[in-house]
Amino acid sequence: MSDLRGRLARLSPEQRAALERKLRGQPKARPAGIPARSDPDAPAPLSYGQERLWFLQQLDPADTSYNMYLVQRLRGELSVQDLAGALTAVAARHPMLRARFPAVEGSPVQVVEPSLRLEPVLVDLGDLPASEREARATELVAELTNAPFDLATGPLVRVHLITLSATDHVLCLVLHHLVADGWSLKLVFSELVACYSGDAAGLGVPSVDYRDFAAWQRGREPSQESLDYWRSQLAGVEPLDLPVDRPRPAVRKPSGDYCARRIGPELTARLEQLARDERGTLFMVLLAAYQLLLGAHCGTDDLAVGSVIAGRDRPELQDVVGFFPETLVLRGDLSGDPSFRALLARTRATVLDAFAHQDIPFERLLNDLGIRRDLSTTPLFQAMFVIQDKEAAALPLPGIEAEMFDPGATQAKFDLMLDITQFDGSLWAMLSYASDLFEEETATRLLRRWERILEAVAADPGAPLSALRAAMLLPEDRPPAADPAPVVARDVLDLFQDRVRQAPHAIAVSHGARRVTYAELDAMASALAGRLRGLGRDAVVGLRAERSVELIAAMLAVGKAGCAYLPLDPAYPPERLRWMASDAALVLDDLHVPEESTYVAARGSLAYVIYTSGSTGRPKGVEVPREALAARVSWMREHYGLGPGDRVLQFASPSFDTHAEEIYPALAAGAELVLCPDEPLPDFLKTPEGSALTVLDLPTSYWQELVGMGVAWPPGLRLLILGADPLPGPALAAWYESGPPGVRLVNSYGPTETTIIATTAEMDPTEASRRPAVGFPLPGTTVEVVAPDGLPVPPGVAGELLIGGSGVARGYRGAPALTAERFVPGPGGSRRYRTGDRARFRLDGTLEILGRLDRQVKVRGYRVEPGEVESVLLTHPSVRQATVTVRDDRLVAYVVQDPAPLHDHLAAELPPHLMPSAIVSLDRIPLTPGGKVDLAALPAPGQQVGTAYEPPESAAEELVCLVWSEVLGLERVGVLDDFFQLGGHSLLATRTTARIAAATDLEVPLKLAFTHPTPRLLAAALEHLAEEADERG
Amino acid sequence: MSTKVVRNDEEQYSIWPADRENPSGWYDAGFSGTKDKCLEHIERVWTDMRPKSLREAMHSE
Repeated sequence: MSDLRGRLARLSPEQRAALERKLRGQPKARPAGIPARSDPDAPAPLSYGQERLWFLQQLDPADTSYNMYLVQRLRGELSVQDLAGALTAVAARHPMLRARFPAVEGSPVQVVEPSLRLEPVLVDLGDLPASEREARATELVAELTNAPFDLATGPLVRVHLITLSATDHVLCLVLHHLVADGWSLKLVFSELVACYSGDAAGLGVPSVDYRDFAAWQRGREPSQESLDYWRSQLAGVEPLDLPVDRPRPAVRKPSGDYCARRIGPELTARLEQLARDERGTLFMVLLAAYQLLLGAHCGTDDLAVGSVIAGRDRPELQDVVGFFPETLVLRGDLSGDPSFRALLARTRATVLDAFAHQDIPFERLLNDLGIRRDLSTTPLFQAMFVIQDKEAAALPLPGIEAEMFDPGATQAKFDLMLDITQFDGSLWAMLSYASDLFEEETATRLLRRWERILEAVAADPGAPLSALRAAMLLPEDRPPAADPAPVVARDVLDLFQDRVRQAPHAIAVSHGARRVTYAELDAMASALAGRLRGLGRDAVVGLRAERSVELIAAMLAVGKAGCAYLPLDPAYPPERLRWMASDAALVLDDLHVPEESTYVAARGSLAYVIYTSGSTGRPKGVEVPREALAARVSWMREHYGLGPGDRVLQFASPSFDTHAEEIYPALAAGAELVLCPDEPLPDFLKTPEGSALTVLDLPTSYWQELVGMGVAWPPGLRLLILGADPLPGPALAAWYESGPPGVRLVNSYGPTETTIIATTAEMDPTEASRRPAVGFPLPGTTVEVVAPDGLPVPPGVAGELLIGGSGVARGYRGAPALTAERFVPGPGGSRRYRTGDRARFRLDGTLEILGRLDRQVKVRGYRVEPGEVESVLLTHPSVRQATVTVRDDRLVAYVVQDPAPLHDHLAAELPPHLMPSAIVSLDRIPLTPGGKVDLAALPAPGQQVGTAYEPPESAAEELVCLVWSEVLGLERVGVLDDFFQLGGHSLLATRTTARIAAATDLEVPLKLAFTHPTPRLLAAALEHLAEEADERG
Repeated sequence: MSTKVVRNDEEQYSIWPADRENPSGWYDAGFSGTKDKCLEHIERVWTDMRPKSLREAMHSE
């Protein structure tokens, strides 16, 4: 019995499916034979699979990711003549080796040449020094495997024999996937061996002509049951949101690389045992672990992975060279935190059902399901999983010792492809990745995390997926340990009193022409504090005042009295001020109260209360303890290098906690605090007072505006601190281009709830070319990035940012439930604030902020980060500011720009799902009083494009509309109509492109049909092409 | 997913998945249910939001 189970576990998934069918008593109808076409030499149609490959090649003629190759080093006495004879003999046996694929009016046919002399091109490296030959051979091979074929003229096979010495050769055979698959390669090898050895007579005639198969396949209707199965199985599949290192380009590039890892025999044996115990196959175990890995990295529990089967289940196809593989989409369901064992049962059912419904070619499925082709990604799935056959491929020529030779191919067909070869009791796992998306280190860690999942499931298949997600993390995946010890810092008032004693006559605050010394400020504060005595610790004192010396003194006074202040901006609506102040012990309107008193430190209580507006509901009063403020201020004083001689601008409204970053570190360091007068900052910076500033702390959006208008920065400016909004890379680039040199730029991040700032990063020009980081946490502060269930995610993966440690606020004033919801348990009785921000760690532990969780949206199933689109808009020279938001399920861009068309710029950089459907030009982006973008104040965009018929206006537009209406069979086409919404698909796009090219005598890249999907856009692109052609003459 | 109410030594309240072990220093406060129910419960029982150590220090002054 156990022997039988072992045999079952070794079955391929297809064999397994066939067996299950048999056992379920549903014998598959015995297929009738594949008929021969009436005229064997006539041009034949392409099979569905070929048609897709042909289309992909038209899209990017330089793409070589569908090259197949065999590269072997042959040591021994090789007869070049016999090899050439064998190659030609094999080519004579298989029509596909002589095939080519010309297009007629944009539609391809396959044509087979009656004969082909397939002799190897000889390359003799004998003239090179022996030490250089192997390196040169490696180079040559890489050139050959990465060189494209011309499908129309053929041949689609190239053979080179590189001679290193008389007894040392490298054979390099490259074919286009259109004419062969992995199975075909094995056929070709074994027949080559037979012909080379003189056993050609023993070879039977191939049972079927591939062209007959293609014609038969195209004439066959898939069963309605299968179509229904796939329609429901694939409903609502969303693209994988992989944790890419670089933004996805508008058009995916085929360049790739791979990393490899060996899963040892012991673990392999345990995984095989697990497969047997669960009545599954190794394929299912490895696939389930791969889907768990991907789900954990994409933040989803529902995902599709592609796989490939040989597609030769009919016996007469076994000895035919040609392209037969079928792609299957395998959907994983990780929901509900099941055990791995339960996941495996789901995977098993999915795989068996998929094999039972494989009679629909993938390419037909794409058309029948109306999948719109998006050039930035592969359709339906982005990650592939394949298990290779066990046999290793070596060419056993008599008298020749063959070994593998590095093919040097650098192509990736998918974003990620996990390719497993079983050999010697081990699993050789190769993860190929698109190198314009991923760093090598990211791919390597992905593969290692997959291995850790395998180790964990082998140890305990009953473990829940959440435990496996934790187990997969590598030691280096943990965020760098910031010193978690709580920071014990001196109270800000202690530090202030030190300065009063040390330099009483130094200027503490200036406001216009007024100068107030440390001693004078202290006296004012002490006098006022006397009036507050008796209120007791933790009492809240409202301060209703404009920015003034008196306000600063009052803040200090409240601290001296052991109370907490609540800034009340007189500009706020009276109603709002009334309820903000409703539970204040006292509201000071008149800040002049002369009376003597002394300062008593009152630790443990609140320093201030700041109201923050949430995106919804009532503003919340954040209660900040004195220790939290002390920890931040002492760090800032030191880290910002503040001291006497510094002139620090007080710009922030007291209603925002940035005021504390400006006021306390300056007063604790003996610097001069310069209150910003009522005039606009650019004007103030031109005055003698303003131009003598050394430190600025500005909201990022406002700073962008200043950079854009080319303000005169103070010559002595040494430190600029940015915060409040994400810093876009292009804005940083503009600063390094036009801003003053030598200014230290700090990008800070932190919500009010964790006291002013929680992390900082020093900026430099390298950060401008990526998403600038917010760096590392302040001492005593912890940062974590977690999935929705609260478990940490690996670096590179986005999640919610949690902040713990010294800066965590007490909570929201008078709001226990809201406090309990946002301040969640951490170890040791500590609390962490859930920021609501999406963030991720870079591989080195640097933190990046991606945006707000509640701002993040899905458009057509794609997760859209508005900031990403904003960054691309900002790289256009005409755009000074940009904000992207979603209104009524549409992505809308708001820009401040010199009028210029932005569509082409965006289409060149952004994948289609990130293209705004409307772009609105504004004079300025409205900001809230705190300097953040005021989303509510943005105007609604006008009429949606593409809803009404617009007649063509130019000759080019007329041409495009005419060709489209012919090809799509429509009466008329408007210039704003979308090709794909009119029913266009990939092959119709090749047809329209061919016709337009013929009519205009231009070389029109097929890509344009996808990046410019309306006649207006396409016509503009054609005119551009024509201009370029004219310039070239 | 069911939720429970937890409390730390400073008598600060928060919520935690009912089926997951508490982080160190956090204890069940004897209430579980939906997240909303837990938060409603906290809104009722957490009447003094000052940390316990501060409350005691202020009391002894």
